[in-house]
Amino acid sequence: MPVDIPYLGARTAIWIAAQQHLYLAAFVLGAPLFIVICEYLGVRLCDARYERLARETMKVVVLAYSITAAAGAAFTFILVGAYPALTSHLFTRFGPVFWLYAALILVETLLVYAYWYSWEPLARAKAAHLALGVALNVVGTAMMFLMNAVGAYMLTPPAGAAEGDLWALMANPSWSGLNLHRFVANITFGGFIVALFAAFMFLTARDEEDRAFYDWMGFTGNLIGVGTLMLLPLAGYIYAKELFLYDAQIATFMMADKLSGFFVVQGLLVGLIFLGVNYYIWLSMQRIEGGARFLRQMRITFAVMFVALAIWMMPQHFLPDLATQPPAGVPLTALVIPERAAFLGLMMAKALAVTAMILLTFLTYAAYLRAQASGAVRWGEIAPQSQYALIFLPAVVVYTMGLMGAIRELARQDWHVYRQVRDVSPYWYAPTLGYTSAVVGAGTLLFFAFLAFIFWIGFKLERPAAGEEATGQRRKARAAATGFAGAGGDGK
Amino acid sequence: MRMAARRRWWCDQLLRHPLAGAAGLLILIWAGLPLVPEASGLHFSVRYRLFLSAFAVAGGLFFALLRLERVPAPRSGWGVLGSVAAVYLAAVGLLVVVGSVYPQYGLPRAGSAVETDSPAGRGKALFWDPSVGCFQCHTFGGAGGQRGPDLSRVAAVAGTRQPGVSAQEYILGHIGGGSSYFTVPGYPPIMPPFGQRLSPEQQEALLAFLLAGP
Repeated sequence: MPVDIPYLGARTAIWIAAQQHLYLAAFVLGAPLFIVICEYLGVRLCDARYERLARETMKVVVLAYSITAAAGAAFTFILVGAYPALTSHLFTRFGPVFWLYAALILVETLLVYAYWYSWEPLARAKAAHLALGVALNVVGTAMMFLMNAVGAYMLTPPAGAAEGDLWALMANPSWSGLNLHRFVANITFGGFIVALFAAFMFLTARDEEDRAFYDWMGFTGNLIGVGTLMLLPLAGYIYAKELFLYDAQIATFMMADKLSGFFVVQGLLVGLIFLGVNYYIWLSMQRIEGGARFLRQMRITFAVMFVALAIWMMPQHFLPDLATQPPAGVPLTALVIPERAAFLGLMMAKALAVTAMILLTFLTYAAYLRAQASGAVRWGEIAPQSQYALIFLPAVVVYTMGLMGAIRELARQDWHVYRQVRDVSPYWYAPTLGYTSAVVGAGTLLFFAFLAFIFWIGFKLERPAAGEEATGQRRKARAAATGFAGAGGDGK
Repeated sequence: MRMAARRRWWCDQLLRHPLAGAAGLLILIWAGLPLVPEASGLHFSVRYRLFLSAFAVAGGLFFALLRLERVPAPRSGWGVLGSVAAVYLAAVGLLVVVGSVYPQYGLPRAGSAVETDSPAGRGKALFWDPSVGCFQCHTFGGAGGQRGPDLSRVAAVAGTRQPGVSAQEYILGHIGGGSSYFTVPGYPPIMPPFGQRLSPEQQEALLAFLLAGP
């Protein structure tokens, strides 16, 4: 007999546990991808900042690792207790996948700790240390692909899945789309979390050199986030197209029926991310000597972005789903977009709007690079409100991940495994957008409470030992020697 | 040249006084748009005007933010933590409010569990069942999707589509064969062949429901 969870209900409980696990897992899998690249750049360019960025981010990853495991355990316990039929179905079909996953968790754990604790001992054998980092990423990505196979199978089980060809079950129609989307999104997410960490450290930094470093780190993290963010709409389209080809009813349920309002909010979220990113660049531009000459063009960019966002969010109608009729006394025309403006509610207009946002952001960065080429960057002198843009962005990014995750799960409608295992629990129906927003909002705040705890104990409560203090002095001396002189320096 | 200078002056004024610009847009939305005749096909209802107003206000506030001078950073660690928490509560709170004020559907929708004794009643339950999904593409009695034809009057027109084919044969053929059976001009050929998914009894029930009309 399945158990229910008091107060929250089984669905909301597993929802929150799964999302916490995914947020943390996305970070601990996504961040090492560019940590290794940054470590490599540090060696290659002889720039101590990259090494420091890699190392401080890896410290956050190590601290977040055990909380990720705890959230994963909570998710598994609720799944087994509240949804035994589904658990049995998945374990029967994906048994070897789960065994391999368990083994890879062990290997991943060993590699995480080996990579972190060998940083100093292997300081003179960087190739070996980088090889550890690469191995960590290969195993992490393999783990993600394995669980993506199970998650994708639940929405798009291949025809004849019951026969039990494991590879056919894994390589189901939406697996590659989900892999691509999550791989890119994890890097985006990691970049924005690094920028958040840098902003937090910038605001609490006591000396100018640290402030200059964290200003640079915030910019770099944000750059990683934005660079990969631009690929995400394309990855999303590829994923959605696979769902459309698999079953047009899933697509209709998502885009025109019950989940259509969710996509209006998604438009707002992605628009906020692009506006936030460009606002940060607006402030970054002002710490470059001569950068002010680009501000007028940037204002035009913002105006166009607002128009694009309005088009993206413009709903075809204000009916919550296809079965709802207008309230008594309200004519249908009061709820439907005017006939001649109907094209604004179609996918083509929305695709053009998001393309405009991506191109404008690209141009903003191009202008930044042009300004940087002709004027020195005064690292550390950026206006403090810029750091709040870096703090705001991950909030929206995490909320977006939560909402999009909810859309993906709800797209299965009243099925655990689409058209194979029916959801016969009391929570078989799609919750409203309002309820979903409240759960995703609570999950977002909970995740940042974990993150604040990690930042605080890892970087603010910890007192450096005498030996480490000496290492810190050496680091500062090395940073000065590499030309990274902090505020007023011309480090680019 | 004079026009260009004047336009530039207006742009500068708007950028200098973004909130005044937003107020101007609000006047345009609430005083200008209602004057557009309904017959023009560009008459925006109150809900759409509210939607556009939200953008005008948000745009004004955003451009005002661009004019903000350097603000001082909090001096203590607790001040930083408090300000970060405030940003998160405000951002997440705003998003939850947006999600909550958007039109909400009733819970739960009657699904396949709704059964009645009459074939038309069983057909109605099937039509509105999300796992069958007829309503996702077809309107019936004023509700439903628009990707496929409105089926409210299908009983009257089905017998006229193909010479020599009765309304019953046409509807059953269409349910069973989907777009491969027949495609109504002006609509994309996206109808799946439900003969593979629904039993003959279920198809008959749908036929009875459609012939009965809304």
